[in-house]
Amino acid sequence: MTEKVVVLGAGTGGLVAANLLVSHGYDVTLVEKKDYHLFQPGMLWIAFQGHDPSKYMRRVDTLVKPGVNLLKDTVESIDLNERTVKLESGKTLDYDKLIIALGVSYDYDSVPGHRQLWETYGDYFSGPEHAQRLWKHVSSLREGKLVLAAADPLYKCPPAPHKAAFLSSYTLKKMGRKDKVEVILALPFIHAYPSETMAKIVEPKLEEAGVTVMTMFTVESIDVENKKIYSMEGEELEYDVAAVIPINKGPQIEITPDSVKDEDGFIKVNKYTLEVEGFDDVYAIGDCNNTPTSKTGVTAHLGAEVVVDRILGYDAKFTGRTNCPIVANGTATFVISSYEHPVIPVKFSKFKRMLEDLFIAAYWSSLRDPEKWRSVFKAYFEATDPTKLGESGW
Amino acid sequence: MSERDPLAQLLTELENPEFQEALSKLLELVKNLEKSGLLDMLVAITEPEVINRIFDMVITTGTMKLGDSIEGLLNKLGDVAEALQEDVKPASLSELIASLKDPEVAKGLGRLIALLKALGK
Repeated sequence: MTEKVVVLGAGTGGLVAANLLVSHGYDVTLVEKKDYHLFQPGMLWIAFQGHDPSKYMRRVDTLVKPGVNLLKDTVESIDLNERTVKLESGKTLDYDKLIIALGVSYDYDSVPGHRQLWETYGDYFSGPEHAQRLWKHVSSLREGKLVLAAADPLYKCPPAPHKAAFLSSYTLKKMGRKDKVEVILALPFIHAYPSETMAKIVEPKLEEAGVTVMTMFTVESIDVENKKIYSMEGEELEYDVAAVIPINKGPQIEITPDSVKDEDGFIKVNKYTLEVEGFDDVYAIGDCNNTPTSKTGVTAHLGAEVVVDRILGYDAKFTGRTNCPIVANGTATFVISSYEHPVIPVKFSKFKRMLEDLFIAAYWSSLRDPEKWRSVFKAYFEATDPTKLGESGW
Repeated sequence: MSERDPLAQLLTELENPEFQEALSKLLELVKNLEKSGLLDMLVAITEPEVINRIFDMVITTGTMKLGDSIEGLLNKLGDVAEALQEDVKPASLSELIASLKDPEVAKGLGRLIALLKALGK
């Protein structure tokens, strides 16, 4: 009998897993509530350079291989003991193997004033329409302060605010407003980047771009009427336009047993096998799990490959490898680390920007036909393994 | 993102003279590739298995580092080409030793030693 695999969520991890499994003859059902898949880093280009959202969106049905049973529905609850998934439509799915790839959810209510700020200015995390709202404000900011901050040090895509700062400063320069608008990057870290090694590389680049960096600034409350942001560390910042990264939480669905979720709702997994704690027939990949690595598309993609290999019977292990790009003007760098290896120094270069452009160009194809890209990605990740690049980095 | 029938969309595109011109050039290219036998070769090397082997050979730690330094290397080559154009008189051993006081020469010599070390690894 064909094994029945249910995949929840058609983000990067969910699509890669579903498309790989269907090529191996599994009976795959993919549940997704939205019609469109969004290339999430695209929100930065929408919000800070005014790109058209359609460039970063594709219909989910064009991204699944024939044979994948795509259900447009919302997951309501999962019962791991009963092996069932309840959907909003009333349908109940049963499975032999379950892959949870539901991403994060955003909390705009824990920080006073945050929801109002988000409704006013938008942000570059929650969706293309919110990124477009932010662009409207950024592009019409003639003078004053553009503040980019975060409500919690743990958020997905650690270099997102840095990219936001670079992209907005280049946009303002192009518009001839660089001297009139100050870009302030207020971060909840000791250095300009969570890893000190990368902070040393990113800091001079931010300075070159004319970005003001404020460290140890964790947003505690926002006064939208008076346009002020207060930090837990006791500082305050005035703004004219501001975007604050929301607190990231696990997916908002009921799971039985509740004990598989940590206090923030992230699903507890074995960090190597990505099996949900206590259940060898359930996996959680990408942003929704509690692995101690960055939450990015790359980790979701690599996690999906590991889970598929495990379902196929191989003893594959997730290494926690990251490859987070930081894009500056014409150059880029990657934040490279793994469970076994702390972040290595990686310089900005034009070559890395070209590699990043190639990764983006291959994105849609790598979701639809992940098996075709496996060897290329494998060669790249092996070539840039932190151990191979060495302490001197890249 | 369009939800239109892809075939209808293609037909509309075909009405575009710019597209027609590009397409006729593309056909010309295909004809030339076929005549020269290169098309057969392209078909063979774009087989997934061959592509994988090519990527495996091309994407290495060495090439990743090389790619990163290409910009610097090309600039250096430009400087070298310029130096080759310069009119110089033959140098004696004492002049060679004296030239080591020049910080640029000393740095260049340092680079040469590093290069020798890398070659000997």
